[in-house]
Amino acid sequence: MIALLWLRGLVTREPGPLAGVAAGTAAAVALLGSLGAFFTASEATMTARSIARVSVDWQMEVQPGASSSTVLDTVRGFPQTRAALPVAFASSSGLSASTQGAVQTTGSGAVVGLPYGYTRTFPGQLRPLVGAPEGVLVAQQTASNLHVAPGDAINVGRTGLPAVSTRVDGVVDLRQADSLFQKVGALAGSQPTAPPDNVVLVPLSTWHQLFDPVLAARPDLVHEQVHVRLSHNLPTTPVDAYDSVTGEARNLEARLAGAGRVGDNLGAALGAARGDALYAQLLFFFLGLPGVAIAGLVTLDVARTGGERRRREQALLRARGTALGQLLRLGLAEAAAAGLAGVVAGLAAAFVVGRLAFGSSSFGADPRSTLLDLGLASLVGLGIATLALAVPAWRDARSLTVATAARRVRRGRAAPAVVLVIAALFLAGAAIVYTLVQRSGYELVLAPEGVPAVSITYWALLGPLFLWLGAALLVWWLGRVLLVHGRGALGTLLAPLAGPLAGAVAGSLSRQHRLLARAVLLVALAGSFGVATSVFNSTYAQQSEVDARLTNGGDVTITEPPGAAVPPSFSARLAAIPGVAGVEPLQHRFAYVGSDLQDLYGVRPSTVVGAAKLQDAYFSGGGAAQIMARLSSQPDGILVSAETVKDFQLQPGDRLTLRLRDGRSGDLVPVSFRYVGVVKEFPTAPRDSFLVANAAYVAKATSNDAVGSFLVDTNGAPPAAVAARVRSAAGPSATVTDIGSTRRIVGSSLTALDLGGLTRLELGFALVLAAAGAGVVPALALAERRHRFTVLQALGARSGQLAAFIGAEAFLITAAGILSGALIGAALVEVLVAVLTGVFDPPPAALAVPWRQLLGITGVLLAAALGAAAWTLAASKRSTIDGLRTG
Amino acid sequence: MTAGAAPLVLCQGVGRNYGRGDRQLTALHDVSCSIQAGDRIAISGRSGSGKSTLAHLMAGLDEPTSGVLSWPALGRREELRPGCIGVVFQSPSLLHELTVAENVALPLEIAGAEPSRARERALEALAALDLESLAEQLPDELSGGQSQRVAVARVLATGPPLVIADEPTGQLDHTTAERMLDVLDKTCRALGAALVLTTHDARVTARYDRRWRIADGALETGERS
Repeated sequence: MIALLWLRGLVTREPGPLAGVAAGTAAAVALLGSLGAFFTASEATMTARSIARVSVDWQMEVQPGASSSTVLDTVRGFPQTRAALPVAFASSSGLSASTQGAVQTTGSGAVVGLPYGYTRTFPGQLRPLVGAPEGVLVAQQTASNLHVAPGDAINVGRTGLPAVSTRVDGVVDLRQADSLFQKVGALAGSQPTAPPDNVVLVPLSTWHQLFDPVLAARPDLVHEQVHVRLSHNLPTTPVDAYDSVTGEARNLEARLAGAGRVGDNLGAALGAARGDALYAQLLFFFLGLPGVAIAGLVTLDVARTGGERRRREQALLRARGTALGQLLRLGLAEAAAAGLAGVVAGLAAAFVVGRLAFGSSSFGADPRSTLLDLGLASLVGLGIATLALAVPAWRDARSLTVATAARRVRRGRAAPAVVLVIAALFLAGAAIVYTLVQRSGYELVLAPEGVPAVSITYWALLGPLFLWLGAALLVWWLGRVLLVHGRGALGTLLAPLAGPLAGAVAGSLSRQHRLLARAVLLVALAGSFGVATSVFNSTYAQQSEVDARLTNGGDVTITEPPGAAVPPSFSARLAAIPGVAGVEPLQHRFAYVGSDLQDLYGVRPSTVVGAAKLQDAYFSGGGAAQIMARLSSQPDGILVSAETVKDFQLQPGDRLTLRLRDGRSGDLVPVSFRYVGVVKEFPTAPRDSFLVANAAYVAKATSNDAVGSFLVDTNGAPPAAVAARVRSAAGPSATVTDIGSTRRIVGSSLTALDLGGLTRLELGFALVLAAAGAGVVPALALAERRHRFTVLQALGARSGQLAAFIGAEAFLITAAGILSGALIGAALVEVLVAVLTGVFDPPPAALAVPWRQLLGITGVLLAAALGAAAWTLAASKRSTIDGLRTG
Repeated sequence: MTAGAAPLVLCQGVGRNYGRGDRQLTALHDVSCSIQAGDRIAISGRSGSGKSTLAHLMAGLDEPTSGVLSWPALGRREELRPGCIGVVFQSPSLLHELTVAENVALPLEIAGAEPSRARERALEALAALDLESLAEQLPDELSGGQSQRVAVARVLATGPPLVIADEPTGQLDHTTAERMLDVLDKTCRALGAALVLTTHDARVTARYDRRWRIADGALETGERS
């Protein structure tokens, strides 16, 4: 009952601190709730994308001696199976074709037998390029090597048997060749490094006609599989989905009792996403929890503004015989009231924020996880309210007397030196971690293929944490030391603002060093949160854009089909299309480096840097412009991958002879190049080894100037619209892709994180926290001390002099807070990007600084501080007489 | 009292209401009086009778809602403090984050004095009231009586011709209150300043030669023998 009376009194007389604690709790709950729900939803998206990326969930390898029909029946009877089809593989001794009067031959290849309906059942496996989608199909590169098109005949070599001739019905792109030709059951690392270069796909019945005789003689050259599509009713997180799928795979293998082994493509995709899911959790940890901690600190400071009132009242209650337990219950009642109000408001805000920032579909993955997230957020909120109200009440109740309760200002004493020592130790720790993560070989998250456990390099997480703690302690310590010992300098600094009162103002600030150092720290932490999140997110967005551009090449890219001989002059036709600002032709060839087949790109060094927006990070030993200038000055120059440099022990200037297919004869001819530099990434190029050379030299040496792709710059025009116009000009055989579509599908499943929404959410909270740190908390603290402004007025202080007292405090808090916040934020984001480098693809060469956002944060901080000062000035003018009566 | 000189304070039918409409409260009504240089006046009355309201109006801290209030010998309302009127409040009204010396020097600095000169005057004022040993103390380190004496020293430092003390002994015990009033009287005499003091304590009233009474917002200025 007394608790209710107490609360009623607080709400009616002194609602500020209580409402402040409720608001701070609400901010923490809303941030935690919405971020938690966001990341849960992102994990669900990662799982969904991983599933969607896999065409054949399982490739069940029929073991030697086992019956393929028995395996097929068992698989079809497995509860999770939705579709299962038999597929057969055979090694061919070689392929050949006779076209345009010349015979083309290849090395060994693979012949795959597919049953009728395979492409409909597993639609992502093959992409028809030309001709029929079923029948005898040749892979894109094979068609290029053999110079064949639909209708041409090819000879398929069989070991120990005569070659057989068959007619090509279509050319296809094998979209998941790596997994299709995997060695099922092989340990990670012992898989073939690349799928076969030459592949023919034939109807399963044809395959049996061709290779059943081989099976009898050379069973080692043939094998059979059952390709399986599973039910995708899986848990929403990649980790749980991975456990479920791999468990099912082991279960099926047990049922087959050694007759089959599962090549678990779905498990592998989910396994890879586990790492990304962990990265998402770490992002949540690094980007969300500091915000929650700051919200907690703001709340503690808001609660502290009501501390004087509480201490006086508690002391009086104790003087009247109130027991310690009763005082504690009053504190708990305050905490419960503010905490519950904050939790309810926070959950509502989380719901609204989630809807606004991510859309309804992204708010929580499922009811269970949403409830879990929000429940956890509520617990944290109640904890903050308890820390803010109940704990100080309990502490004061134990130690206070009426006399000590009346004490407001204690003598200035700088912060103990041990704080500086601890801060220095934390910062040194952060520096060590930062140095270690810069080393090569560092990976924060390791999710090895085929291994259930995912490991995290936990010590790396200490880097940002140590930096945050060390910087916070240092700012607090420096604030107190400078305020206590720098009073003279402060007076000089404030002289233009305060005139003859500068000394008194400086003295007043100096003796409030505890309060002010805390306020500066709060603004600094809120500011650093804003700086770190916005720079981190901008850098992430920048790298996602780089990734998309690396994959797509240009705003719009036209990729010509294999064998097409589109000349560079086609650029002029494309350039005439509305919305096309520039066209860059890019040759694409295959070249043998020794026995290794690599992609070769022929470029125009003078124009490709700008047209393809080449980044310095794509090259080693110089920037993009520098390396391309080097290539331009050496007509037979070539850029190779670091791996090739290592494999072939190349030195700059070394000659490198490649085998390229000649445009006229169709034969592989040796072409001599000079090694001039190292390329790591290149638009449209694969992630492994490739080569970049001068297009003019390649065209001359191979008598072929055919362009592989055209990179179109739209200069701001909508890429999708330009792509639609380009498509009709490029013809049906060319593939036209725009950067927007590529952005949506490119990269790792981490792109499931809607960084746009995350940025809005975090910036919103950063602004709220910054405004609270720079405005609300100082305003409440100033209101708490409004008596002094009343006294100043009673002593005759003019408005300007009053403003000097108030403004000096606001200026000090804001200026020192913004400066410290910018420094901490800059250091923090540097360490965060280094520690979380695996999040970025490719790793950033430099941070992207969103100046507008940062200026916005600074503006909000300044406006909040200015608003708080103006409000306090106005309020203190209004309350002169009341203030004097209450003393 | 100097006959024929302009009064320090002149109240003509002064009234002060708080609130509006049905909730309007009349704290003072139709008060007419004047304060001359050198006057020593005690205004007594029960709690809520309007003493403090009148003191605040005379000190220029508040404005009347009716009548005319002026300071013919002192100037305009905006120019009264800190140089022309010194105010001592019921509670000490010291700034907690400034030392005693800084508190005493503050009104001088507000008036535009050089900080070094203000400090010098503050130390002189503290010494005059035997408070120099407290100069570097913080207000929270003082007793209630010490704090009020410092507040008086703050008035002494500015040397105003009029001192208004609003129940300055209200929170003090009798002995401390007597010492405090001695200090206040001594200060005013030293300054040659008029003193207006409000109190509800008859023993305090008895110390002064002119005694005004206030009841329900109405002032009786008839002097008693």
